[in-house]
Amino acid sequence: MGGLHPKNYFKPETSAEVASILHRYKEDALIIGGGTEVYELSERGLLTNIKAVVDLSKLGLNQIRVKDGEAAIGASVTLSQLENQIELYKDGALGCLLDALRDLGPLQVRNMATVAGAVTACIPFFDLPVALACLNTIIEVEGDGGTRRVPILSFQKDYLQPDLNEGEFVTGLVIPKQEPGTKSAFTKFVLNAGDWSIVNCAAAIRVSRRKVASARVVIGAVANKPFVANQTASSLVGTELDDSALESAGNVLQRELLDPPSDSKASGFYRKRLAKILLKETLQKAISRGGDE
Amino acid sequence: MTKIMISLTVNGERHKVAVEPGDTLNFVIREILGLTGTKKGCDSGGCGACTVLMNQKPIYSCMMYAVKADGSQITTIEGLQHDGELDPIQKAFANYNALQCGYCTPGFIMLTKALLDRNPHPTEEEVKKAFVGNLCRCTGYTKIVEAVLSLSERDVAKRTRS
Repeated sequence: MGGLHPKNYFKPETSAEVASILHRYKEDALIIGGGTEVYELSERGLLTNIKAVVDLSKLGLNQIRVKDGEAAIGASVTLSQLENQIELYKDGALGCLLDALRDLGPLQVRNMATVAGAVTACIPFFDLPVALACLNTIIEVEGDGGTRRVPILSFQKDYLQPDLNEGEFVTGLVIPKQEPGTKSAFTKFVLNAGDWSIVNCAAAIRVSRRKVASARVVIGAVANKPFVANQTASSLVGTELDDSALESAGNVLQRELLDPPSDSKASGFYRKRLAKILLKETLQKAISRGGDE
Repeated sequence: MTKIMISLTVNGERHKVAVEPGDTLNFVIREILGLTGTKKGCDSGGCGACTVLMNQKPIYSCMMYAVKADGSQITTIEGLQHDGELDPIQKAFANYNALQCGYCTPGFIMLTKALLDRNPHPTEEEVKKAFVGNLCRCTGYTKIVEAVLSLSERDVAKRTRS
């Protein structure tokens, strides 16, 4: 593997062992899930200090537990494992998650990468955090002080900055029960099938008596963390999601996205335009979603 | 540097090897076990030439730390033949001229193996989607996709006959 050749590789079997390694090596320890992001970071010179890799795969956190509509996903659960948990997607509420997982690059990566890793990496053009934020996912963090539960948008503080104190690590994620009748979808725009998103969009809506009763819209790759478009979502409530409602929600979104970043792939202006198009596609995909995914 | 002992079952044969913490599974397969059918391409998880099956699932061996793979079952391209006879996937790639320089071929074949094990009759679209993580830079993809689809159809024909 290109960059990172740590002096130590640990596979702790208890939380206490993890904490002790993290206290010993402090910022020179790197926790990995599948390890698929290590190369990208090390090639950019971001891991030069790392002396110890901490692999969580022996902690028994590879389970998905579904109870009363809530899905608890252990930190070692891979993207493929979550994708294949088909009963989760039957009613369309978690459709955005399934969309994001299915189109997420090579199968070889989906078989290794973990869901928790995709969130903890705090990389703003990743797809899963956007879908998970749309579903109000909670991150479970363990440390000396016990366990804390942090909403994903607070957990992702900034680019590459998860809300983790010294000695803490992520043990899993919880996707709460969605309101009955909710349908969600995810779309993205990429230059090629294996590339990261230029813009991505997740939306969840609940329609009652033909009118939108509630909506949530999250846009990715337009800021340092997933952007929750509250004004756009509010503008959808009470509409019948007809062409004019979609057009006007897209305009609200363009106003709400203040200053998306420009880079070698796309200008901020282009990202704003894309976001409007993706919003429309996402909402149409969500409402067309049956209960038989 | 302290070495770590790991055990791997590669193509049905158990191996105990001493690795460094930063060694990849690709390094172990090629440089320690001498199974050079598995290639080292981009070495960064993008080209797919290093694809092997780990516990029946395709992974990039260049992205997998060897220590992480401890205790797993690995299948490489060398493990596909049966008593000296090529696997039907290997034969199809040869028959359809689905290779030119051949460097990407072991990766494509291992990915195809995983695909057909899970979905014996993939559509053209499903085959193309499965190859998202495998690059070919000389043959192009048309012949590769044709080779894989021929296996799917052949299987259907066989079933119809029986």
